[in-house]
Amino acid sequence: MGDLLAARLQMAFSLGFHIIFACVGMAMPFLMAIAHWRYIKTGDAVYKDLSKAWSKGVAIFFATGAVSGTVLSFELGLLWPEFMEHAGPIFGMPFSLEGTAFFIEAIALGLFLYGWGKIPKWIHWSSGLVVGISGVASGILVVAANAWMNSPAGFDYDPVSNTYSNIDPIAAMFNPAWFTQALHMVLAAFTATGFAVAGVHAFLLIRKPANRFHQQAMRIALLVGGIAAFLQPISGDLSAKDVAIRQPAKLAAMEAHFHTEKYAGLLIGGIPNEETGEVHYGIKIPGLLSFLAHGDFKQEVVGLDQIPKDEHPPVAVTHFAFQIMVGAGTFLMMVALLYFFAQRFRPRWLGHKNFLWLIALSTPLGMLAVEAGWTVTEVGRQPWIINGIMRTKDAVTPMPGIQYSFYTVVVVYGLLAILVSWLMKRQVQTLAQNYDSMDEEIDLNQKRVHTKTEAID
Amino acid sequence: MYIIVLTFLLLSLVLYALLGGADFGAGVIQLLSTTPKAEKVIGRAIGPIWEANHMWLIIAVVISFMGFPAIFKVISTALHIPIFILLIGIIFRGTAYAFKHYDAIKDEKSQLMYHRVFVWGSLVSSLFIGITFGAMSLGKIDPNAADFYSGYIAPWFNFFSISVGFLATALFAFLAAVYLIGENEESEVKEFFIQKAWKWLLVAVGLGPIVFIAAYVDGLALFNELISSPLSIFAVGLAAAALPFLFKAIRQGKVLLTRLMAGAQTILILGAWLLLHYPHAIMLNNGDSLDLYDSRAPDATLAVLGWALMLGSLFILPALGYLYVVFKGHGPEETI
Repeated sequence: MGDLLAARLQMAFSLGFHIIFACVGMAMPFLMAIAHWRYIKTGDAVYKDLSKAWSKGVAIFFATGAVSGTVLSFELGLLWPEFMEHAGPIFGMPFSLEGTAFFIEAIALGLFLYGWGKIPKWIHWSSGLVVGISGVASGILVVAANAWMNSPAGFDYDPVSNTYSNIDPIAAMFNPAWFTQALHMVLAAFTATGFAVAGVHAFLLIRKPANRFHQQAMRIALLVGGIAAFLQPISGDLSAKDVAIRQPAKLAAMEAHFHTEKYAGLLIGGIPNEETGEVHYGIKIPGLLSFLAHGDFKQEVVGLDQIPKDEHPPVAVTHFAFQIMVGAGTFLMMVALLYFFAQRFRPRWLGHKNFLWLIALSTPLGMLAVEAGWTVTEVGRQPWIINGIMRTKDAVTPMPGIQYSFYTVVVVYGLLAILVSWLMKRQVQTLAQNYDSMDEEIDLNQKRVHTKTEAID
Repeated sequence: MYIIVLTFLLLSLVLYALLGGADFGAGVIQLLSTTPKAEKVIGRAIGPIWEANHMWLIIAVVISFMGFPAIFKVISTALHIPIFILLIGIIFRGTAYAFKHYDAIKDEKSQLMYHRVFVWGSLVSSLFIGITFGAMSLGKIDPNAADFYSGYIAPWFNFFSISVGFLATALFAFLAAVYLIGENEESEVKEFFIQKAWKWLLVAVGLGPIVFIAAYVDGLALFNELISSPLSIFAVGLAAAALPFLFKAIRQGKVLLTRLMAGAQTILILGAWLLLHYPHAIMLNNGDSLDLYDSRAPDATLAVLGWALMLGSLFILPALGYLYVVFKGHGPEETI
């Protein structure tokens, strides 16, 4: 394995591992805040038990997210020192703000996890909310840094002397891509986490469909995840329209769009052949790509034929990842619609085995979409590390033997993934003995759920 | 703005040593012996604050790559291996701690495993922080190295860097033990940490001369540098002179005094190091150095970074203060 490929794979693997924990870290505090708020308002023990049970899992995810994030901040330099030497002063702004946000988050997390009964109730609840807000803030900021790589701004570049001048860190942070990327990632984090949590609780409901603890958990998670899943395709559309103009090579790779044309068709599925420029199998919906990308069926969509060969991203990987992301995302949107319909008009469905299995099987789909989406945007940007300015191969560390650190990272993170899963299993196993409210049941026949509170849904 | 950014960088590094380093130290002091009660006290003491404590490292890293990119690049390249090992230590230590406390089933076998990983992760992290730091000043970093060994091994795999690694470890362990004296009222537990504190202080003091010897062996005129700088002599002298008083305060279990003195000792040592080397951040093989001022980012970047740091501190420092105020009390704590 060459060093460049090893470096890219190591970075991809580190990011892919971290993003799962980052998503959980961004969204879970809000789920917990909802449960916790309902407890404070109603005194209903189920909500207290739920926020405590969730907190235990979240603490583990947070620690793993924090250390994998630390690794990433160093890996920027360990793997891409040439990139960091030039990019550091330009896009460091979002990173320094992210550092502040994450610092606040770590402090708030300490207060939240350890402050039960030690600090006033509302301060305690607020600290949980602050964890979420600063988590989302740091997510937005770090994505703004990534957006800069796709849409470089805030500097002048002279290719002859390879110098970067007139640096404007604020313009760099607010580059043209930051908003669409940040919006898409935040919605993705809430979708992925919401459905993952809902899925776990749905699975646990299959044998005891009326269990109140898991029903309330699933509903809170589906509320958050469902809204996000519904909004996500709109965000995706904004992103695609933006990419069509700024990074036509990326769009062409996503769509396996080899030939520039008007009335460009939207490809569903399909296996691209990068040598011949053909796509086998797959369904093309005429004109739809032009319409989605540019708002006009007649508008020309740039194909790979207009991109110099040495600037082509890997088409197959980008295309497959894109199809997976859109497929999973669309599926989740439809599940969300089903849930909102059932919850309003057919509450009995929420205890039905088929519904529960649907949610349970959807557990990994959000995270799958997140990983696929990141693959699209990162692989689709190749061969550039700074779009149009610096190539990835010119950014990599000169140190040889990177495959060994790659293997090490794979082994360590693989081990952690197994351990975290095992720990989650143990948390689930002990729910009944730790929480009395696990014995409570919900009446699925009622149009509205009977709890001591107002209707929750 | 350069001064402000530099100040924050140095502040982050000092705070990381005092807080994050002590966090590692809490693991190291359990290396040779521990008791169930001590373990409990340690777990409770670092629980609410460890994630926040380690943020100073992230702040330092971000300031480095944004404010002093050339230095960050050289460190990331030449010292890739010790940094990588440090990261493995950080990963294992952090996750072992969280797993130990949040595993829903607390059976002996897994708790012991977590404990061992936590302790060894803390040790590895402490060692390699010191090794990286030592390597920066030694002068064996060669950006134009001809072969793998001289480029990526020799700069840090030497007597001096490794002895600085051990010194850092001892310092962190000493700090942790001192802080822990005040974390519990029970005399048995207090005595445990008092013993650890003065023993690790002895180790640190003993390692001091070894670091100088190692410097001499590896061709670094550290001692000469020290005696030619009046401020450094003063700092080191003051630290040395305070030692007997520090030992006495530890023996007597004086919580506030030992904490202040231990912190002051650490700041004096780090300060002396800084004074000896400023403005050089990294000493290179060919006798040159990478200087902080010369490696600084353009003014626009430093300005924005400086403001971000100042504004950020307005939020972070009070919040951090509140966190400490809430949790520095004793008594049984309701963890979830």
